[in-house]
Amino acid sequence: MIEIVETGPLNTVQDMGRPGYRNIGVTACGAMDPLALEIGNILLGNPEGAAVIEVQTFPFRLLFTKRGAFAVTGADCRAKLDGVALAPWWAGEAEPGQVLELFPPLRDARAYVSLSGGVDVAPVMGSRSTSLRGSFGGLGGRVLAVGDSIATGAVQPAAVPKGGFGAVPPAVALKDVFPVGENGELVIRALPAGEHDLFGADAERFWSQPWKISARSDRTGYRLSGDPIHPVEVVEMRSHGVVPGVIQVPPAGEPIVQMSDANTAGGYPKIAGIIEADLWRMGQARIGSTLRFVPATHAEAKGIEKALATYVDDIRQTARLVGKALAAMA
Amino acid sequence: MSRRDRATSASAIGDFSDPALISTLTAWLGASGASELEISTKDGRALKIVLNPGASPVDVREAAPDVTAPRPEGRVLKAPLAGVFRDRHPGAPNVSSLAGEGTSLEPGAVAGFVEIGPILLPVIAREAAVVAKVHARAGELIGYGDPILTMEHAQ
Repeated sequence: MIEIVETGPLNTVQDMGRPGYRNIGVTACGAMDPLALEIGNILLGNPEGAAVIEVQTFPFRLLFTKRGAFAVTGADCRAKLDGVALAPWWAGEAEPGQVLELFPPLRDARAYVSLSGGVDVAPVMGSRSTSLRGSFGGLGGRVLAVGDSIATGAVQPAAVPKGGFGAVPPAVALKDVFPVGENGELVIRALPAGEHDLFGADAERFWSQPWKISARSDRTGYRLSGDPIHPVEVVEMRSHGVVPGVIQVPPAGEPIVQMSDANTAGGYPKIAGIIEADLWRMGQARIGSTLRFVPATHAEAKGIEKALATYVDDIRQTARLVGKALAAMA
Repeated sequence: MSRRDRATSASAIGDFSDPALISTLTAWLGASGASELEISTKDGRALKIVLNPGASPVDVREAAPDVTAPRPEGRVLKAPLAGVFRDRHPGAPNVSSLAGEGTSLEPGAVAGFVEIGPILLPVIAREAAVVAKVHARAGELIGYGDPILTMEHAQ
């Protein structure tokens, strides 16, 4: 059980999302960085996909009203428990009365607070994710506010060793799989989509130029700024289904990347789709930062997905074994 | 280099007869998919573990008498498990070492990490003290119970 002591706007309860209802216009939602959510839950021994708190505005403070294990993953927000600094991607145990603080990260955008047993709110259509547009899911379908009490599910038996433990961050462990550009810009792999060839020579510029994430970006989508690109001829398109990662080009020529709260349908031409294994990095991209799109093949996308799955499995196995070994020595 | 000499002696992989160590190694062996593991040291000590479901799973032999490492003065922080010693978090390579010689540590402060595959275990200072000597080198494989730091009470 925890209580929110301080929060900025737009912090919500999220899980792996609400798939399967796009046909009736229900946005999937879910964590912008699903990798951080997954690893936080693994460190705590939580059920896969347990709900967590997504923090995208800081500072954020919560009070433990009961003893419980927690993990802070995603952006390194220089977290402190009762003033004692915690390493990034870290799990620990809090005593009643202790306060966990998250500060503005210097890199990346979103931090995730996982709690032993998971955030216990009523699932709606199979998910505890907050749908802000629909005003349902999460805590009353709204953003978290000071004074909110959040219940947790059945606490997992001591998964976190005394003194805490952590995971080697994916940006370190998988630095060869997720390269960073020469000027520190984000490199995002994407597959050419349906209307790619409609852009003729401008399609080339889509891939070659850097794009800046504009201030008009949120969980629904990122609007990119750069040299506009236009199709060689204007085509009328019927609305069609849209999923997170789809990159659309509206008439003004600056692309929109659909994110976790993506519209379920849209009519803009699609130039590319971000590979699923790069979506978590996109979810951590900051407003004002620069990114570059690199064309990928399905085989490359599969390879990156596999490397990611191996890393996650390795954490799951090793966390369990380390826990066992420490228990054996205690 | 006295550090090297000590590392190849008794404390390199901890005490081979320690059931906790054997249990850890056996668990890791099982997880790795291999069925047999053999460790030997220059002084002739050896440990062999063979995974054989249904049979007696562990075969230990201790060939040489225990060689006691020289005990450093002061309080020693030891490795909580075998792994790679990190003197700072791997996600923050540009910060300085968490506990260089002369650093004052508060109780509960993290003095370093032991990296076991993708998992990091903290090396924690139990009481307020000053780092007198750093024994483990960053990036070095250390054994369970190996001394990492010697701490002295602040004057």
